[in-house]
Amino acid sequence: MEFIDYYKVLELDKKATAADIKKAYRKLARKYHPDLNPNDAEAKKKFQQVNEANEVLSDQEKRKKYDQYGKDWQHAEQFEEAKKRQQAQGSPFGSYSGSDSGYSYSGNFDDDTFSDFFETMFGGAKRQQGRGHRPQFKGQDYNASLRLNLADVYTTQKQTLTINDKKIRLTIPAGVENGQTIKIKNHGAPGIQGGPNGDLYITFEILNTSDFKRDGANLYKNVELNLFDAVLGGEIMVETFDGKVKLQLKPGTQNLTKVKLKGKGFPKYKKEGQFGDLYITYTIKIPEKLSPKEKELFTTLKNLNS
Amino acid sequence: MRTTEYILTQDLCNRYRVETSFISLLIEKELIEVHYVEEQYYLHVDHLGDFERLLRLKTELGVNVDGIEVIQHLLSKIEKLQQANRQLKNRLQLFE
Repeated sequence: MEFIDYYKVLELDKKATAADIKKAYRKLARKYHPDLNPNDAEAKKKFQQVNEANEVLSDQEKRKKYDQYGKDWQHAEQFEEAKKRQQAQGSPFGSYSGSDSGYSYSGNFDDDTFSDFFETMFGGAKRQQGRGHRPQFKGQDYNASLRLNLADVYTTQKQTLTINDKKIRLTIPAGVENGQTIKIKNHGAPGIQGGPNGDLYITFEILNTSDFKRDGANLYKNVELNLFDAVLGGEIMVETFDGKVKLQLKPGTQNLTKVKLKGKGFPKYKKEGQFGDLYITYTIKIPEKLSPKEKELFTTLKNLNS
Repeated sequence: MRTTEYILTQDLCNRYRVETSFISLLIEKELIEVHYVEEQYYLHVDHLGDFERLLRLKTELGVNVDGIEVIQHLLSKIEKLQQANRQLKNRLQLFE
């Protein structure tokens, strides 16, 4: 767990006044507000850091503790014990606690999530509610990512995910694409005061370690041919995504010839029974080490053609 | 029309403590999709999240309805570009 420089996060120095903090917070929170930066994980992270920095620096008591023990966060517990003793004897710091900011941003963002550093220093304090304007009735939306292999999304499948300790049974339609986000209605946070639940957004990361390249529902594959098959033609077996197929090879097949196998590609997303195509590119392998006999025959062939 | 799935826009004003004129402007500029039934406007519960997002732009970022309209337009452009970018990235893997 690393020390977080909250002053640096808000682009301030340690002498910053409450007004400076408020101004810096508003400026940065606007810049990184999730509603203005959809699907931007980096902005979301920054927004969380800015919120957390403000939570600490806009609160006199937290700021004092942070300034005193921030870099030495491991001793925060000792600080707490000392503080309790002081409180028992009458605290010299007075009883003020609360934000000077008087304003906070939500952006339908789970701002109760703080860093480990914050949790250690301030004991998992929750963001104060009721500050600023936060109209919300619908529950918060959740975002999750799911990593699957290409073969996993060749067929529609059911998976059980655990999101915030809640098990969700999910149907993943065949043909889902890398980077695609799907919305699962009502599986976000519970609604507020009887409002509807939020939604769950799942972004897929599809890993492809196969011999096939994918573009939407079309698949691409290189198939190596030996010189003799390419020259004389014949039958070859080619691996498709769901098994082998026999292909007729024309005599005199050229290097980089492309062949389309209709309907042998990937399933089309949410179009049951429909598949893309498989494009095969032939690459012809030229023999490198010839036996004396082979060399003699190639020379004969060469002489026949000259 | 199942009433539980539709919220009267006047109820939205009360619930979110927002002026009727704000919602009227959102409707006028077609920034929210509403249903007009017996001289009343209703918002489908599926669009509540969109409404809340527009409201946050107003309340948290201090943007007026004209500004919200511009933001919406740019966000939809960003969404299309992000989608195109994702497709192009996936296509680029063909050449790797």
